[in-house]
Amino acid sequence: MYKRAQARSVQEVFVRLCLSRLKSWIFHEHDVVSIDSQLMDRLSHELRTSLTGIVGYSEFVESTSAEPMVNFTAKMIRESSQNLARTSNSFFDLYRLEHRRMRVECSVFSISTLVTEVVRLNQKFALERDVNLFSTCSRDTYLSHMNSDAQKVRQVIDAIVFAAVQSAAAGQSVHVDVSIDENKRFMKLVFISFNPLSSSSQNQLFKDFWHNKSYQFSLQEGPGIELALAKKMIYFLRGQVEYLSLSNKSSNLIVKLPINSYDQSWCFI
Amino acid sequence: MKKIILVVDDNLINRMLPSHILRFFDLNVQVIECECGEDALRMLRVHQVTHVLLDIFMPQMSGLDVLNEIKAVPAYAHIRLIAYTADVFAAEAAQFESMGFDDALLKPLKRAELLRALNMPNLDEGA
Repeated sequence: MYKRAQARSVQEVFVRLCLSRLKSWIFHEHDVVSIDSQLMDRLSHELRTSLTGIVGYSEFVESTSAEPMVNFTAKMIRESSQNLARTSNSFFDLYRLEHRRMRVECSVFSISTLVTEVVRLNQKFALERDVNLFSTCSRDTYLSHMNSDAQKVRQVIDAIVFAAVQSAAAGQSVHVDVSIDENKRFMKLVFISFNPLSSSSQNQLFKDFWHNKSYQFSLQEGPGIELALAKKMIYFLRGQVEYLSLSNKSSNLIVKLPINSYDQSWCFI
Repeated sequence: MKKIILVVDDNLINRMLPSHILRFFDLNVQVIECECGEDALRMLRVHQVTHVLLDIFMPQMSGLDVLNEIKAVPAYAHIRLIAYTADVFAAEAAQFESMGFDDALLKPLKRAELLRALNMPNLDEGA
């Protein structure tokens, strides 16, 4: 009897000790994660602030200088800073996704307005590269709304449109078609690039995007990290992605995103 | 009435850019600057400010804290409060309006956008 009580007391002491160690370990881990996250937020803010200063001043010089060489230099600085800003934004978003710190904040928004806006914002870039960028939208979709995270949906579309335009050759087209399925459960976005498969780097780009499970974008310079993020974001939003190639006709990337997946805001933590 | 614009931003480069743009085009405005919310509230007491460009993320007193302080003073009701932010996706006009701002300007600042927010004619459009 005495021995049994003694054993129980030893067990209790042991369990308490384990619990206290576990508790201190959990708190320590929590502190480390919290410091890490704060550092990343701070870094993200500092980088973005500095880059907006560079872009802002180079645009100012571009718009005010009459010297062609000064204009050209300012343009190069601006474009390079904008690329760096996109890459760093994607890096920090990937970090948040990987560490399950990405939040979904839902709101109701017009599908066609969002798609048109993203295409409009990429028009200047398409024009510079002599790429014909356009979007189409069915009548039903034109009037439809989506209840999802507008910022992330926009980010996905923007990353794919940007990459498609960047990899298209001069004189080619990129077409974004938006529709909704019969059951009104998914928004279907089809990114079509009219580029022959045999010679197109665009096809490789979409293939990379489709097959890639990590971030190994070996062939494509520039948009890799953004596309990796876009793909992760599609799955994060519980969407689907498909790749379809029509030989010697076009490369299609089909993205389906739920129209109404979330009843309220939520987050992974 | 001459416009007096107060730019509040802890980053020197982003703080100077609006005044450089406005001075370059010789527009009839006065631009004053400060790097924190506390200084902004002090300057509002001294100057007849008409517009405030307010950075959102600042140490100690955030842009939203400054906004609430300004909103609490009836004498400042005429001042146009403009959010000045680098957060691309937060730069939804409706979102800032719901916070109490009259307008929002996205960094990197563009001249046309700045003139629009200040209700000033865009020189390029007239040309």
